[in-house]
Amino acid sequence: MRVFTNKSNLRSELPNPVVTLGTFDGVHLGHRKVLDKLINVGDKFNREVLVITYWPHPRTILSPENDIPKLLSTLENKIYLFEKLSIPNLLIIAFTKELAEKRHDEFVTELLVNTLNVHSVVVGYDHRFGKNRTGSFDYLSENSHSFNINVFEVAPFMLNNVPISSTKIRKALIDGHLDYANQMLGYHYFVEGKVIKGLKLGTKINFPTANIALDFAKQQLPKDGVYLVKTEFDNLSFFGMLNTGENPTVKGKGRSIEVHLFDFNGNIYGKKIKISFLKNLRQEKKFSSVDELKEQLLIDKQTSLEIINSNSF
Amino acid sequence: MLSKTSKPYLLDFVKGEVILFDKPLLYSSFDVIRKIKKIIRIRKIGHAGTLDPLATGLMILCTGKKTKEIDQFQNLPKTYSGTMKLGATTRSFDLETTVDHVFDISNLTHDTIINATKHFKGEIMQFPPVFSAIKIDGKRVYQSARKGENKDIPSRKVIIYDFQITAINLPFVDFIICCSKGTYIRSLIHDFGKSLDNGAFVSDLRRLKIGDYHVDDAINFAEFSEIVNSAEKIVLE
Repeated sequence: MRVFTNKSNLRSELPNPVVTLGTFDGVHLGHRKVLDKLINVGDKFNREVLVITYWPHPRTILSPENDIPKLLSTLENKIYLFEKLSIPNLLIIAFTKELAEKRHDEFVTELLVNTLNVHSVVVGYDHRFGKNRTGSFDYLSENSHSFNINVFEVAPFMLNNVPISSTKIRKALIDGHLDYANQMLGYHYFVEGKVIKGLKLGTKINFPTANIALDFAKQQLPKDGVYLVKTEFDNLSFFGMLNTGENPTVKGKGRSIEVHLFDFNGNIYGKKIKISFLKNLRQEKKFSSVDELKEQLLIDKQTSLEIINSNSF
Repeated sequence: MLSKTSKPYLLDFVKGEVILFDKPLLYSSFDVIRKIKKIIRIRKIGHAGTLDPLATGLMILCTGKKTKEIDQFQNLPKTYSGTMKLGATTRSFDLETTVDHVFDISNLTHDTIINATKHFKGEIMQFPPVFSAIKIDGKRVYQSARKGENKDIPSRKVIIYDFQITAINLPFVDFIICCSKGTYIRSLIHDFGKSLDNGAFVSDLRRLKIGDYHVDDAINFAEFSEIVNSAEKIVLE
């Protein structure tokens, strides 16, 4: 995949492309419906296809500080997901206050017509653009002749009678409905972080854990609790159990994310680690003794191994 | 039958093959025939039922002597899944032409939408869309429609075996329809909008089944070329 960050010289590389635009946080099944149609339209008209995405997330610029959502994917993750979907070209547009001030007609004329000379545009049913989000499919469709752009709309992807959206996925994660979130994403939700030194309390009860600092503190974590996860680092992959929360049993430890890896013994401090959430094992709870905690961890491990062996995640 | 599970060395397009094909978006049914003809260089080939350019899904293609069996496939009931958009109409009843009327949808409830399907089950009369491949006076009606003329198309009787609303997210409504030969889903959705004192057009349409043949077993252009190539290699060996 070619990733462009400068749109001004794009016209020579992609003379008359078929494009779609959006924030694409999470690159979920609804987004994939848009991307499928994009590829179809590109094939039919024999044109290069281009995904245009904004970074940072417009709401991190526009929303009041207490209403900025945590994100499902970092820019790096988004690029990774587009790559996996075989998107050939990606343009990243810096989302600024200045861009947000552009009227929707200016936005289309400047970006799609003058800068990119777009052949066709594929838009999701809920995509909005321009100042105060006034531009939509309807506007593009009504003016398709004057812009000389073909316009295609993509209806929502419905799951259990609900349209999939990044907001719904965030909410499902916050509410502890990991399976539902994963179903809407079409993959297991993942975060990336770095392994840091912890208190080494787990080692004392034979459950050594890797403490994780998230690369991107603004990334949405699933609800506090214990999860079956798959971890990846250095091209290796291990299953494990992850605890995220306040650590009620161990006094004074505070909020943390830690993972115990199955069948692994080694030093991974400082390594970059990818963690995919496969299954919620249980909620976080306070134990009256460390022994009781250890007993529960053994049960959790047993449950995890059963899930792994039956492939039911 | 050439499908996802066929063995390439058994192919004989002249003697006749039946191909389960998954039509991509924006290709007309004739585009499909033309492209397949190019790949296998055969003269006799036909399909058992047109799919609009904006629809995707199952087409049954017959080559060689098997073209005699086209009617038999054509007569089978067909199952579609799709999405309609309420609150607007277009002249083509899909997005091939732009919106010409808009309607307020604020008074539509899930119940009224679901109840309205009742009027469209069993034997119904429908007018084919003016943008359709039907011939009147030897001319395709869509050719007149593109010029802005409206020919009188006679209505015809079709059977709707099933019409289910599977999801509602206004203005979008997802549906599954099983119907007889000759049914125009676009007309059905247009009439459905009318029955709600509103407007509706087809936003997405995919043919899932013709009789018991399922699109899950159908192949696309790339898979078809691959099968034909490997068949040729086997012949050369």
